[in-house]
Amino acid sequence: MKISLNWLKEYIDLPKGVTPQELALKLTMATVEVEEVIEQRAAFANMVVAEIMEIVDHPQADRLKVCKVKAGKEIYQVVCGGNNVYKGMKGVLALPGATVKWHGQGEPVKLEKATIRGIESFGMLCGAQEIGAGYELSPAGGVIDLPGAKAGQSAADILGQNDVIFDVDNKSITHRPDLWGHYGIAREVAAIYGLKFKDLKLAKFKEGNAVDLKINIEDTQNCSRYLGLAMSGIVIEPSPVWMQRLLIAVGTRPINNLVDITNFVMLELGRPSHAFDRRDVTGDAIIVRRAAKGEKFTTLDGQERSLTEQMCLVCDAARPVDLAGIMGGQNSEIKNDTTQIILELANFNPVNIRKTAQQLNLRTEAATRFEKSLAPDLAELGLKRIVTLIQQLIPEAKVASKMVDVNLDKQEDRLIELNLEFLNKRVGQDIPKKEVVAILERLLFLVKDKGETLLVTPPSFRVAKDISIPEDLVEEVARIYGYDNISPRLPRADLLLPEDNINLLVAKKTKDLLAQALGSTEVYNYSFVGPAAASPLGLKLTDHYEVANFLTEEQRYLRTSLFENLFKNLQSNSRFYQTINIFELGRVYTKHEGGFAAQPSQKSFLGKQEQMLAGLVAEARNQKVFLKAKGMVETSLDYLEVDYNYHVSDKAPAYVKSDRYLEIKVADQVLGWVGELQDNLCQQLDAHSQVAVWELHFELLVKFFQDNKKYHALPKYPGMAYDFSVLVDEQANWAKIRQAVLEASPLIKKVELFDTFTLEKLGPDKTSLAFHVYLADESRTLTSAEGDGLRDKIIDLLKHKFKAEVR
Amino acid sequence: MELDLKKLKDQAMAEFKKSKTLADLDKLETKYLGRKGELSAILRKVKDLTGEAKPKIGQLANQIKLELEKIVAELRHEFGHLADKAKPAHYLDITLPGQKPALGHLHPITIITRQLEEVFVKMGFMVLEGPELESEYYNFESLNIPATHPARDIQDTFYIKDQPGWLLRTQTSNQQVRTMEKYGAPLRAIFPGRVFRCEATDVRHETTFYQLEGLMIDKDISIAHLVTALKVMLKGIFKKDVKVRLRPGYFPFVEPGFEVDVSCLLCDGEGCGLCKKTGWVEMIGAGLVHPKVLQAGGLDPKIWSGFAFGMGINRLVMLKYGIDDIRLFMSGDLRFLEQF
Repeated sequence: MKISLNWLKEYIDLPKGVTPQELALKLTMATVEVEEVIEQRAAFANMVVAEIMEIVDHPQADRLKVCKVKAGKEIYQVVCGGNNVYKGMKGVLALPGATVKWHGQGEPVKLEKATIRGIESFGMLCGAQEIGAGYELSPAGGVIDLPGAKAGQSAADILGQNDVIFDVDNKSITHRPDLWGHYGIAREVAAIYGLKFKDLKLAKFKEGNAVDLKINIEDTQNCSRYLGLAMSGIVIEPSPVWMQRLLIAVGTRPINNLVDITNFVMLELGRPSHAFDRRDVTGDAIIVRRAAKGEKFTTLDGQERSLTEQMCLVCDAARPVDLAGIMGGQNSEIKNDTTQIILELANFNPVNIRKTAQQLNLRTEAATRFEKSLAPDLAELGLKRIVTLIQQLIPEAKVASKMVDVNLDKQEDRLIELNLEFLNKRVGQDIPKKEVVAILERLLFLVKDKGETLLVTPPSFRVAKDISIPEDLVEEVARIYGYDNISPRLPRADLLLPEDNINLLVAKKTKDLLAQALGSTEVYNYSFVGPAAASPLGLKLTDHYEVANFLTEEQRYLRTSLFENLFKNLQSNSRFYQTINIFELGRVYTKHEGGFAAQPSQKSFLGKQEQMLAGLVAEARNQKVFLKAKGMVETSLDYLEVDYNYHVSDKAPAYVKSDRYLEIKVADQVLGWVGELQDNLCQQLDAHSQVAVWELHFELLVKFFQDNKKYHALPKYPGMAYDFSVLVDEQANWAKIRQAVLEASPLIKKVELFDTFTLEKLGPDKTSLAFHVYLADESRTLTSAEGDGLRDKIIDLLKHKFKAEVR
Repeated sequence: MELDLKKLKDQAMAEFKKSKTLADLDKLETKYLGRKGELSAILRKVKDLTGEAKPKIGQLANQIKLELEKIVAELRHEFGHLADKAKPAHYLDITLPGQKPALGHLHPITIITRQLEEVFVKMGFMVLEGPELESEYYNFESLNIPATHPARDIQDTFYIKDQPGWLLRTQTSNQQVRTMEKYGAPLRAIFPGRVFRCEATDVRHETTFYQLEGLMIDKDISIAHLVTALKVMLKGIFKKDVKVRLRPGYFPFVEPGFEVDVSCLLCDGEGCGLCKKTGWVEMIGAGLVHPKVLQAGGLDPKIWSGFAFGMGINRLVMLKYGIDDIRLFMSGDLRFLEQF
């Protein structure tokens, strides 16, 4: 919202020497955030009043003139296209360096000295639109004509562009409907500086009898008050320059005196209103009712809108004439020949206004204010202010009806007890009672001193949705007292060790290991997936939670597996990388009952949102990438001291090769799995590599994580090592060979594979395995005879049980 | 015995000097200085001596041992260099790149979140996680955000189809009442985590981002305490004293509520593009916990009071690393992730 300093000065006299920047800072620190301070004058830099001394036709262009102009002592030559120039005319000369909008359109540009069709031009004579000045100052196609001005005078001064505009962040006043106008902001400034606040000028008027205005509120849910008044003797013409300037300054385009007055009062009091042409209000009757489903209504902007039965309409005896609180109807708008009007100041339901404005995508200034919950009694003040301004601008205007007031609002008397000790405790500093009372009174609260407590009545404009509990008063006092004036104090707290979060500990250990030892990079993916991400995995969309108001098809569902998005990462990164090793720790959302309650002390639970840890490894031309992923998982589980086993299982997900899938179990619980991606899916994902995938249930990992290392005494007696190299059938199973060798004798402590390869010349479907076998006894040194005996036993075992050729 | 020793020394010296290779030297070292070597044999006999001779012979033997060790070390050094020169075939281009084991990378949000957690743990705060799929009750209602509040519009919040009252949490504040229910008071905890907003994405807006919420509940917590706590934590985060200013802000679950500005980290308050020439950067929303929120958490506002604050982690990470597009965080793009 834009606030004009000149406008504020209508209600307050700022202390001498307060700069706009200081005022903006004070407002920011005590009330609302001022995002920018804009000096109007800055936009008129390098613009002066110039008098035309001489005009000749441009030799190369019919429509252009070459003018010699005098600005102070200097004489400049400019090329001008204005159709209204004459010798002796005084206009606005924009010199090189000034910023203008060509023909009032497009982005502002900085002027430079130019040569136009062969003639040098030192700047330009400007039209009103080109410099954003009052539009009445230049005729169509012409430049500004300022008969009363003096050559050499600053353009900003002569055009009255001496205002300063504060751009206030609307978000910072959502809870303060009273600040949506200049009057309210001025009231705050007065409170901050302790200034006298000038009363609003209100003229007394006599009610009339000529018009019998009838008002009926049918939709009492959406309209709690309707104030109506008819006026006659209206003459539509442009509003005076002072009003236009203020409106333009805050970004509102002047239309005519009547429309400008209603806009002015909205920007002054934050109170929207509406004026109908009385000729178009059938039967002088106003009926506020609900729209019918699908009812059509054309608003002022000429758009036909289709309404729902939730929306509220203001109607006359025959038809709707106003979309309540949002925008008037085209059928009853003020026209140039309007002479009689009906004014509407009504209180509409803020929630309904907001919903209607949203559904129709019609967020007007009026709707923005209504939805903040306006003070109920502001309607009457607003009406009186409008009548005052109409009579000021149109002396012929007369009130033609009674002020009809259908008022269903209940008057709310609010009294808040503020305990001073409570106040000081919350602030953290003692503020003298005298000062507390003074601050509250400056903010127009009524204060009764009851010793240790104050009985406080908030002003009517602060009651709606704003001040209701003592904590609210703490804020009022503290912000005006100044947050900067509160001395910092350390809170006192019991010396307690914070409870450890074992989840975070395991996450940290695991992520560090994966990233810093195992070369894997952590990714964060959306919780959302689209059908395109789910289908390659063979996952059913019906198993996914669906976002009711999804933004894009890609973000329509909640992921049920981290791989839905990890595979997208694989695809997008394959363009740049041969080797990809990534992992993610995140929640997946499945249609089961989870552990988080939806409400306290109720037996309803939110959906399951388990944390999963998953990763993938893609390496071009690595046929054994499965083993790499398996090894990463093994290192991780060893590091976390998880006591796990592998199980060959037929429960591989559809996207994993069934013969390259291993389940990881702890006791009977499946902790996770390792697998290799189906080739066709790799191709589909443009991954020109072998891809292994792994997944662990993170919450189980936390459960089975141990921090339990125990020292084992170093062996006292040396052991022996034997190496074996055997040729076995490709299908032979290393885990079984290893197990059989281990079981051959209790002296065998370790069986360790160190090489494996397949060569054509070794025979078809044969694999060579090379491994170490370590023998030891804790109580004695083994003899070489014992060792050799065991070696022979192992060879025998390999030959007979595994049909191995020992080499 | 003295004579034996001197003879041994001379003999050893002569042989050491004659040695030509490292292998020769190794053998001689074993012969004279080894555990079963000749000098050791003599030294063992020293312990059988008596009277004046014992310290005298002992000293001499040790001196000879040191001298021999010195000559061995010198020769070894010399042979080492000779060996270098003797093997030109094993030339190594030491300007070749080192064999770097492949490192992975932690996500930048993980890195910064951990740093934040560390600061708060030092200050005695628990670190807690909570649901991302949340109920209207914990995300809104319990936080004094009534059904008619604009924040609850579907323009801002993702709701779940066919699950009335379920949504994706829009703020980590959803943890406030959950934590009060579980731990009661006094209480100090932070809640970092993923939050969701229903808004179109661009370089500054995301549907998915990270926040860190903090909550402290005790007796007589005040604005003055909040200011101090914020200053301490910001010093912990930025590793230097930062200026902090509080100004009015509005969040339904606190009263009073504040926007907390931090002196601009780029220009130190001088005014630059980052702070829009104001010298201040808006970083934290904060306030004293609203009595209705305490009540929802089962705490009596007459006894307990508290402060809460929340900040966006993404923004902090973007500031720290100079990242200009918020969407990169969720892109899974390794060209981005490998930079951290």
